[in-house]
Amino acid sequence: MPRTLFLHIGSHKTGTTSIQNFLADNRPLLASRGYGYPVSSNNLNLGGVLGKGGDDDQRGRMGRRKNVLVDNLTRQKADIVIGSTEGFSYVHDAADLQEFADLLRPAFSTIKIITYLRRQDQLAVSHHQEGANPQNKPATRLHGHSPTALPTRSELQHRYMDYATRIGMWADAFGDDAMVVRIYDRKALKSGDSVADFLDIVGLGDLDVSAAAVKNASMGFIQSKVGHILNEVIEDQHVKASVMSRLPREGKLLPRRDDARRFVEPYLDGNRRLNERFKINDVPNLFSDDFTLYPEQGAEDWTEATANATIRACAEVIETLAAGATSFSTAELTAAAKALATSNPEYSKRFMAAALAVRPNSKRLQEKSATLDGKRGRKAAGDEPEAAPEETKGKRAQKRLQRQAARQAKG
Amino acid sequence: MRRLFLHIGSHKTGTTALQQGLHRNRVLLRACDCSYVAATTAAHLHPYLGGVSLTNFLPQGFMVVDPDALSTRLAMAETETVVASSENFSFFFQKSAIEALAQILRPQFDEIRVVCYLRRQDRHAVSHHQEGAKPHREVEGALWGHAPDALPAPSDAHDLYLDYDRRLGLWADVFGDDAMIIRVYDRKLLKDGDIFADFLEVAGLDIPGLQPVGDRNVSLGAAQTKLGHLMNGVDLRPKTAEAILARLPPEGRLLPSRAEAAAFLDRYTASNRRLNARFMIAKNPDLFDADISDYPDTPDSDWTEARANAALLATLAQLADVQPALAALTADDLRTAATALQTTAPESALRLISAAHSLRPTGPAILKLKAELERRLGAGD
Repeated sequence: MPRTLFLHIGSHKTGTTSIQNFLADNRPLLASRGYGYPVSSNNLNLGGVLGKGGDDDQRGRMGRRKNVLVDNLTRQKADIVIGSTEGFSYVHDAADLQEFADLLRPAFSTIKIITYLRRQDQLAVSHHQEGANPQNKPATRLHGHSPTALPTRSELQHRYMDYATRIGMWADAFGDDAMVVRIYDRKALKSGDSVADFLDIVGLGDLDVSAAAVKNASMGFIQSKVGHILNEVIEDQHVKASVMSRLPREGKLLPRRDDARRFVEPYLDGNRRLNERFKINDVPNLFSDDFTLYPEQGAEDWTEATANATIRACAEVIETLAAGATSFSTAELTAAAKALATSNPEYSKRFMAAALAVRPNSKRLQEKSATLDGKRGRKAAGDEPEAAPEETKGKRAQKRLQRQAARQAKG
Repeated sequence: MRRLFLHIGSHKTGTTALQQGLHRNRVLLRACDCSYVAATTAAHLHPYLGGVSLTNFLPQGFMVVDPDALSTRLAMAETETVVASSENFSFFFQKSAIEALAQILRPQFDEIRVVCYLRRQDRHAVSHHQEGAKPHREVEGALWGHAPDALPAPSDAHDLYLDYDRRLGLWADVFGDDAMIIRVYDRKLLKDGDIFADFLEVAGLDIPGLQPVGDRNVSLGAAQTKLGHLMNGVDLRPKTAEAILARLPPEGRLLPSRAEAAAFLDRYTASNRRLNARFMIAKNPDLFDADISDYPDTPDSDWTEARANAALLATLAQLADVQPALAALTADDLRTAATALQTTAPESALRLISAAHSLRPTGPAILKLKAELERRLGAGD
């Protein structure tokens, strides 16, 4: 029986998470209709298989990962397979795509490449805002860390935004007829909803999507600006998340109307060519020419009030973190190191290092550290019992450690 | 005959340069029968003065907090002329505090001269308020507040300092009008445009070879000042605030508009006239010049986009330097340790889990253990 593959390649910020959530949540229902929806370890889409970082992304290639992707898609038993990850939108290597198509064709008689496109200024504002999130490194590779509504231009970003070239590469590899190019505009989507629209394309238009939640709520003005600055100066994701969670969500970082218009200008010609090639809609420029969603003067600069409130909030976070980090005595830190020495040697090491950081010249601490190193070493060599009840005080502690040891022994 | 020149300030009138100059030249001064008396570990008398507390000293102001030590220190000076200085005498807002000081001084000196330099109130307020943006400036913060603006937010408490007629009148009422040497702090009016030279002349200390020292108090830049006020306003620990401020360049100056400065000064014009009429300080009946051309037409005290971003960058970058090894303890580390210690050392466990909570405020496992430990410790378990 002929098999069909629907490959949903994004773009980012076009309702992809909502679509993927719906598909992942309804896999049994999809299966009953003959559809397979393979996911990677994140249980939502194929993003984990395609990967998020590394040099291959910089070069816009799937590289060796495409074999794993092909395996994931072809081993599905269903007649119709839906694969989705917006990570495909980072691919901009024609040869790589051609190889990908050649690997997929033997397994599928019909392949449809589905992509939603958003006007470049809107995508840039939204995707750049996404880069203010503590964990979103791919977006920052494209758009940088500028605390502005629109990102600074970059070569990698241009490769993404030049739809005529990027989508053209997919069409060159899979054929123009394989392409389903949709405009992400609520007015143009079926029922004004990306999930309903997508399901309609793949032949599941009858499914009820009313329970599908809108995912990826956007950040507020302050969060967006601070997030960009944070990503520039701090690596630790926990620390960043801690700062972000304390900032207000209000407002939205928006560019000046003229700046948005200027941002799209380099892509106008390409958008027209893309529309001519794929006959996407009746709008000559492909996208609406309406920029009234942005204020004339923009809403992207600090005001006296927002800057003051933000700096106060950040100073408070630093105070909290500094107080938290420095409020432990060396006795408490070594007690923690000792308590974790056998059950959790790596954590134990970090607490001992923290104690030594407070008093680097303490011989007593250095001796304790060496003793614990020995204990951890014996544990690793199997010479030390899993738990040492005699080290603890109280019957409850001993029982607890014995239970832990029994659990670990069971495996 | 033993005489004392007591320099009482005001703040922001080159006092640090004057004190450093007198302290460094104290050997030369002593050779000319003049002692510069300061606290053992300082170049001034600050350690002997204070308020009820550094942050809660209004409206009482400062007083001598260690009269015996001050008395002993002054008595150790065996020269005929003695010079002592602390601008914190300018925080003496009650006559009783000055009278108590007089009781310490009078037995030791036949003549006491009180020397004070005054700056026009708007200039003083801009400069002294800016000082409150620095770390360890609790007193300035308490007096001027932490509004991140060029001029402090209006408050009746400011009059305690800036109503010069009332404040210096108290000193004159105690030591006598003739004891007062009141000078206008304006480089155009100071001898050689320098407070050190001016003070020596005032005190009649014509000693060859004395070396002045340059400006000692470096001003903060505009972004530093605003950021400093905001950090002090949330009680960020001084060491951290200091490190953050050091990340910013001392560029620009936070200035009010001409209209704002004029309105601020207007409140004190009558007081200045009365002071001048009483002590015949200057020919100008207003005491100070009326020139406001050093201020911009529009205030230069709001955040610009660049300044705000630079300030935030400096602030957030500090997060990476908060005790690296300690900060390297993740929320997971702290939670695991708290779990391991919850039975044997519940108080430590609570502190560990609280620190984990500050790193990850919404972590469900952390919230659960924190609540459990709080319940147990609260219940005395």
